[in-house]
Amino acid sequence: MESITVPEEHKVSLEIFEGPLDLLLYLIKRNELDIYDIPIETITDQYMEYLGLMRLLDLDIAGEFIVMAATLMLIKSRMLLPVDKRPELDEEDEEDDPRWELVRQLVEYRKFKEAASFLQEKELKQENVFALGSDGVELEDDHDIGIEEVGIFDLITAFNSVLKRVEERHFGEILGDTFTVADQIEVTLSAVRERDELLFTSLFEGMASRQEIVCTFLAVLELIRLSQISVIQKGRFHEIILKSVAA
Amino acid sequence: MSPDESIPELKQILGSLIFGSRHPLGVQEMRKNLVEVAKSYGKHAAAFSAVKPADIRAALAELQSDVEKSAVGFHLSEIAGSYTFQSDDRSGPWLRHLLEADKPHRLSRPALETLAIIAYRQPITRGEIEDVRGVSVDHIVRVLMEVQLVRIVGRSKLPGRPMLYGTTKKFLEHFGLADVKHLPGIEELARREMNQASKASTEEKSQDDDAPTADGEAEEIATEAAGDAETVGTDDGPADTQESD
Repeated sequence: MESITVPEEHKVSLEIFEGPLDLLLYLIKRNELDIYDIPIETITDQYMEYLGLMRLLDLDIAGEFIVMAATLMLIKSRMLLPVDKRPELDEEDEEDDPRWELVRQLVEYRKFKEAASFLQEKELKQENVFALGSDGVELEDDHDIGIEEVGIFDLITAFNSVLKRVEERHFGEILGDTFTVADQIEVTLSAVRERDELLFTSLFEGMASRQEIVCTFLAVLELIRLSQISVIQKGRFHEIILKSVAA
Repeated sequence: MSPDESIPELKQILGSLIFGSRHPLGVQEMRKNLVEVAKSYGKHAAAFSAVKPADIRAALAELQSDVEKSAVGFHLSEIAGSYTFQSDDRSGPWLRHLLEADKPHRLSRPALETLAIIAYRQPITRGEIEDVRGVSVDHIVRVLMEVQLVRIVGRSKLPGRPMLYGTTKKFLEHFGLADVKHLPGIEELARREMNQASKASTEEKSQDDDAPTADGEAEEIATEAAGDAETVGTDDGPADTQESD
C-alpha cells in the first residue's frame, strides 16, 4: 500500500501508546482466537495489515512493532519446520512450541489488562465519592495520556473498512483538489457539532479521494487528542460514534 | 452546662473523632488521642488509657457495620490506611453539583495498564514495565508522576542503577483502596514471571514477592523531591473498604 503524501506542515504527530502486544491481543479478541493455540499465519497476516495501515497514516510506529513483525515471521518459519529439524535456540528451551514465549508474554500482559479494568471500575466509582478534607487527583486535560475509551486499533479498523469501500468503487483521484488535515479538522468539527452525534462511517460518505479520507481520519484523531470531540462504542467492536464535547 | 458524664462506647468516640477530624485518621492517631485524653481529662476517659490497636479496629469494624445498616448515604471507609466518612457513590451527581466540583478526569487505558503493572509489581524499573507492556512507557510514567499517582521509591542495584517506581498514597485515594495488598490477584501477579531476560536481574533482587515496599531490595532515596513522603502500604490490618450496594 503506497502511502498518501500528507503535506508536511499538516502532519499530525500522534504518539501511539499502544504497543505490539496490545495489537496482538486486540486481534486475538476480535477474531476470537484461542490464545493458547494461535493460528500464527492468520495473526501474522493481520498484524502486517495493521502495520501497513499505520504506515499509510504516517503514525508514529514504535520500533517494537517492527521487532514483533520479525518475531512473528520467525515463529511462523519455525513452525513450518518438522520438530526434529528445528534449531535449538537455547539449551533451556524446554518448550517445543515456537509460540510459547510469545504466548507467555501475551497471557501475562492480558492479566494486567484485566487488572487495569478493575482499576477503571474503582476509578469510576471513586469519582462519585466525596470525603471531608481529601484531595482529589487533578488530572488536567492537556496531559495527553492517550486516546480515551475507544482504542486506536478500533479506529484503524474502522478506517480500514472505509478505505476498502472506496477502493471498491474505483473512483480516481480528483485532480486539483488537495485536502489537508487542517481543513478536515474544520469540516469534521462542524459536522459533529451540527449533529451532536455522528456515526464515524457517515463522516466519510461521498468521499472518493484517498487523500481526503486519510486527512479526515487524521483530523478525527487530532480532535480526539485535543478533546474537541469524543468517541464511543456501544459495545466492543460495534459501530464507532463521534460526539461533540460540551463547550 | 457540664457534659453528660455517661461513658460513651469506644466506637462512638471513634465515630466522633473521624467525623470531627479535618483529615482521615489512622489507628495509631486515634489510639494516641485516647491515651492522651485519658491522662489529661481523666474521669470516664481513663477507661481508655490502655486501649490496644486491636480494640480500636474491632470497634471500627462495628461502627462500619452500624453505618452500613443505617443506610444513611455515607460510609466509613478505610483509604490508604486511614479512616474517613465518604459519601455514597450513587449520590455523586448531587454532591458534585452542590460542591461545584470539576468534571472528573479519567485515565486512558494505556495509562491504567501501566499503572496496574507498577501497582502490582512495585518496586519496578521502567525496563521491567516495558518488558510486560512490550513498548516504551517513558511518557506515561512521566505523566503518572506529574499527577502524583506514581513516585520513585528507590534505585535498583542492577548495572546502570535504574530508578524503581511505586504507587503513592494519592493512588490509593484516587481508586478508593485501603492498601495495595487489597488489589485482586496480587499474590499471583506480583510474582515476576521467569523468562530468560529477567532471570539474571531477579536473582540479584530479593525473593520477597508480596511486599509492596522496597525494604532491603534497593536503596531508599529521599522522597522530598517527589513530594510524597508517605509509604505505600501500611501495617494496619485490612479493614473492609467501602462496599458497593
